[in-house]
Amino acid sequence: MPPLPLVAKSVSKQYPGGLWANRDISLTIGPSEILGLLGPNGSGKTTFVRQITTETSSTSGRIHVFGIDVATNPTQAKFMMGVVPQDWLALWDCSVYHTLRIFGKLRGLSGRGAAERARQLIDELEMHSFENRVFATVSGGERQRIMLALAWLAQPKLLLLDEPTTGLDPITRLEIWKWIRERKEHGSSVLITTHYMEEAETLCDRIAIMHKGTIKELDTLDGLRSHITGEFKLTYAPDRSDAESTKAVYGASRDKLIKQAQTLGISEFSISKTSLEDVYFSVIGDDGTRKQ
Amino acid sequence: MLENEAHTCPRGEVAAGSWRKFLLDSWSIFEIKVIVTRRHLLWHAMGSLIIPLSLFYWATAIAPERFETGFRILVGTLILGIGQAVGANVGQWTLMDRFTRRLRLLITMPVSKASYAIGTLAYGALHAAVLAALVLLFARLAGADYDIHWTMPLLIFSVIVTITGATLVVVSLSPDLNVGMITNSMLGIVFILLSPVFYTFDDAPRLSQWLGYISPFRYAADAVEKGFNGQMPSSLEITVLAGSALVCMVLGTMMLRWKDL
Repeated sequence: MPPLPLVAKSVSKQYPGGLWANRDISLTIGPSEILGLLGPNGSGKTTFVRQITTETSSTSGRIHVFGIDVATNPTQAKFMMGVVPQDWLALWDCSVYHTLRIFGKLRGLSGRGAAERARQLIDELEMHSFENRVFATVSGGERQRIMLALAWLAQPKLLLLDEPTTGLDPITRLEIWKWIRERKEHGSSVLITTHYMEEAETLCDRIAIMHKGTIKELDTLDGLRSHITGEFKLTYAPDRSDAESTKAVYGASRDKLIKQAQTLGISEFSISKTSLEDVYFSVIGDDGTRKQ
Repeated sequence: MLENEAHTCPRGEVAAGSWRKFLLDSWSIFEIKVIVTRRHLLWHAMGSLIIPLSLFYWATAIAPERFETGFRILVGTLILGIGQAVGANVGQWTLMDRFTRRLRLLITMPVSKASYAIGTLAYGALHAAVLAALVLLFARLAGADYDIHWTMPLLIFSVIVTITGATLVVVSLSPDLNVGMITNSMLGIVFILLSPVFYTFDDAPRLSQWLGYISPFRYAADAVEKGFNGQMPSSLEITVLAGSALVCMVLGTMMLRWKDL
């Protein structure tokens, strides 16, 4: 049995002062799988990514990347993964080409190999127009393409993408989604953190919902729907004078929901498939900001 | 098939943990720093020269006989200049790396902190070499007739290693960028100026003599002065300089913050 791309067992992080960033995180990522991490700000997603990349140490628990323990063998483990951090960490005064070439060498490519790979990635990610400009002078979308190229330099089998599309325009976002899907087709596994429900719905094979440092739910979207809310949602307005104030009832089938509406005496309602957002708010509960 | 892919594809062309990877990484770290500062290298050198050359002229003016009879003022200028060039450039870069999150990007790469330290040392050595060449040229133009013993580059290199290691320690202990910048720039200058480098141990005031017993810069100054006279340094000087270089660099590398930034 080959080792899995990522195995985390009971991983926790407590900062000096006692604050727990996350607690008892256990999950696995299979080959060519995209796993999404959803959760409010401060739920421990980024800390978990940084524990995998060894930027921060875990207080307890173990993380293995392709069978390599990141705590005891960080350099070997980092060979196996590519990282897009949440904020742009880059050489602000270095040109795109030089950044890719030098980081290619740091990723284990030879001098010539790194130069060729830099050229190849400039082609693949269409960075010709700004390849000689320094990082500080390129736009947000261009910066994110550079970060993706940095993560993909050695074509790792595990990609860790921490909010890769936050703050980007819709076209760039769609391009990045396409790129992530292509990486999956290439055989790479992806851990992606995001605040965008649509992104998680579109890209992820499985979704983990984190809250207050722990994983509350982890399943496929259909699995989450079926055991948290139900496949379908009935929406109605209890007060006709206030159409904005709606209520929702969830159920396993349309027929059951229609019967329930008749029982409750609701004549005007709509039935739709339950969205990830519905599931998310059901899990997060009162701490969510949406009112139904 | 999958197992093979997992263990070959992401590792790249150069084996992890090999000496080749270590040296390539060190070179890459050096390259990053040079690419970013190459346009301003001369400005960096000029910045490091201002205080030592001012002191050179000041000391020569108040004690012209010392300039004429020995090389101690030149030695002091050289040691202080190297201290400034290495301390300021290595310190600023490493502080910026640490506090502007550049280091975090490097930490996500399969790079050891020892490679980072060696690349940083090479960068410091480049600045020191430029500065030493300018000081020696300046001194020659000012009329100093010195020899350069073959041990001189090694002696100067030991000073560079000591200062780089000490700078890495200061940077790692700094709570924030501002404190780091102030502490780093002041500590080195004060320590070197208080050590007997511009004057001999025998001529030094008592405080400077006490410091001179433990300061590697005093031993470096004594050894470099001998080098200017075409003589070998003493075994004590070699031992102290090699020891301080080793201790400072190992300590600096060990204390380098490679996580929890």
